[in-house]
Amino acid sequence: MSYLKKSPWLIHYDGSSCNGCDIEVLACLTPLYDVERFGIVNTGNPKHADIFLVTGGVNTQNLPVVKQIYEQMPEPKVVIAVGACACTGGVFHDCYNMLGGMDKAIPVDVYVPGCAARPEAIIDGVVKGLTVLEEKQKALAVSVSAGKKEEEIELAPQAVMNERQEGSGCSSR
Amino acid sequence: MQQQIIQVEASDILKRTARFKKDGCRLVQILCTRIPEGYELTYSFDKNYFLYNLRTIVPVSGSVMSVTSQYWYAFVWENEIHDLFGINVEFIAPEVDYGGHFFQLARKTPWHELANAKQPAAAVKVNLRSGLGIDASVKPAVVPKPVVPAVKPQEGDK
Amino acid sequence: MGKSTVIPFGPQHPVLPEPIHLDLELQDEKVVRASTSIGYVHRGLEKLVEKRGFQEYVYVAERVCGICSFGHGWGYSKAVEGLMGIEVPKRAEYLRTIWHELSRLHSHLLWVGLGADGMGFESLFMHAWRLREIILDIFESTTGGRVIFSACKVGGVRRDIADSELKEIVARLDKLKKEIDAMIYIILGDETIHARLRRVGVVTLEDAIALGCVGPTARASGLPLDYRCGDEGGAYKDLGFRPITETEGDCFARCKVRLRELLQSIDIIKGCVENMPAGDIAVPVKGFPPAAEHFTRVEQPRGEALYYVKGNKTKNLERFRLRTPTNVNIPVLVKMLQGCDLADVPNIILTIDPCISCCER
Repeated sequence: MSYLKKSPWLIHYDGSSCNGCDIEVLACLTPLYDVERFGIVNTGNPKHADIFLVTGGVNTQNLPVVKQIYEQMPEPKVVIAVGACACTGGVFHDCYNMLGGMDKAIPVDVYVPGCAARPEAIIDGVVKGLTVLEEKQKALAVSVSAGKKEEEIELAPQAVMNERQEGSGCSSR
Repeated sequence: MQQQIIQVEASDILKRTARFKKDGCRLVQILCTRIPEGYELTYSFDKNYFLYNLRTIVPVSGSVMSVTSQYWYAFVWENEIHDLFGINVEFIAPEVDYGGHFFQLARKTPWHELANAKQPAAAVKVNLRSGLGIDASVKPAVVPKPVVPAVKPQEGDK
Repeated sequence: MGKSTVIPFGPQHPVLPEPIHLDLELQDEKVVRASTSIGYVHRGLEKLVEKRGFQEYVYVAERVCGICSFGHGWGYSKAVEGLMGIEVPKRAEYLRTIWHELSRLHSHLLWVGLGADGMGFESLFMHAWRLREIILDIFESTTGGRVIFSACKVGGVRRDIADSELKEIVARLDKLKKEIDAMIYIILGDETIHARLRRVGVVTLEDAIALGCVGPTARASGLPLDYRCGDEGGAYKDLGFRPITETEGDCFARCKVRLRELLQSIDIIKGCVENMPAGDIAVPVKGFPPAAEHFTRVEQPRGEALYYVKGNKTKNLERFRLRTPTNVNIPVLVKMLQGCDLADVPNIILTIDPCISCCER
């Protein structure tokens, strides 16, 4: 894992799980395993989060909720499916109300197996997720800078107006 | 655990429930099982850790009165059995009648089909702890022949 | 006279570990009415009895809930044993009691942490969960798993605990007790906690009876309802058990009940270890469940849970029904929320110790 320039914040949601993996996710934040020493913070606001830790195979009622949280998160974002239920449906894969696996709802980047997934495995999954996050950040930076040139041409009249108003250097973007 | 099953008619449920409430019993749960004759409902009441169970059989097209007038918190189970089994529970207290939207399920009334019910209600013997001295006689229920609607084949649940 | 608005609470919320949705009708900042919407964790696992054999189903029953996992495995096994008329050896009963009381310890410490987090007292959250890790270490050294450990099976338990290990468990619990005493002293004496929890979410004794609540929620209102004193067999009867009750019925009383139950559970475990009988840990299970039915109950950390099984002479049971304590405590929650402040809503929800995955199976 290379040097990260920002500490990733995570949001956790229980997508129809038995709660075992959720308490192991919370156990990662508490003193014995303590990911907060790496600067990882558990937030409740999807718009603040980089990493979406989701547990449980999705059921029909939960599907729009999971999708909504995923869509609210800003790019780049990483989804980590924690636990056997989130990977494939687990023991409940043939229940009438389960879709079976989190990837039926949202695209998943890292799968952490286990029932309940151990905190060591979850931290390992988060670290792998951070690598994926970095790659996505780089890809996003490339695409933003590629799109920037066209936008600058369009914004030129505005930029000129700003210069006249402020009398200072370039408009920051 | 000390338990007793009392067989009643579906129309007697509310009256018996009121009597249990007057005696100071607590409604523990409402249970529904799909059997060939329809639905087998069990209302469990507890007093001093002794479980009294009212057992009734409701045909598929039949209905049962809600007991929310006696035990308000029964709405949780009555809405549930309506959504999962399709049984018609009448006159649930209006502020807690979810009208079929208690759960949002992948398919409606998933318990309605007779998936595995081999045991019709009349043949079920009650298993009590020995030495209790209480014998619950399970009389075969006199149920009018239900008109079972043809079960539409479900298009796969996945 | 303010305007009335309806705001949604959940299913995703920072204080909620599990999804539950409430529609809160507010007038200014007071909740006038609350209506609940559950079903986010409904997996429909009761229907899985038709696909899994009755002995295999223990693993599904355990996974109803991760916090009360052992209790569900025990309740299911007890129900099937009652159905088939299997007499479990005394040692297995005592071992099951030890694991169940350890479960209660970890569940109440988890609740203290989440309740503190809901109030904003984050250092107490971290402290309680650090103490909880001691219990999870005991689980891991005796069974191999931290949260879901599959120790119970139909006919007994799957693993034994050696007597030397039992003494070590008691030594660890003695150390834990000192730390729990210190934590209880902080919680009961802190003025901020009093201000947040006293006279909030009051449930009178009449309401508790009328709304049928169970567990610490009922015991905090003065209703001495605890299935451990009603159970005819098992270690509880041998050791003698009395439920812990408080009278005020507010959030603080529920907190006190759970804290005192922590200390009571440690005493029960010590009693079990001192009186541990020798013998087998399981009996072999032969044949299939008969065409009969059986009810059984277990006192889970959140209240009384009822298990019903109906057999039909085949490998698969005909019906399994689990009525969990949170299922009964939801109506009480709806009533408690009437008339409270909006800022108290997370506290009140956490005070019934909601285990929504239990509630919806």
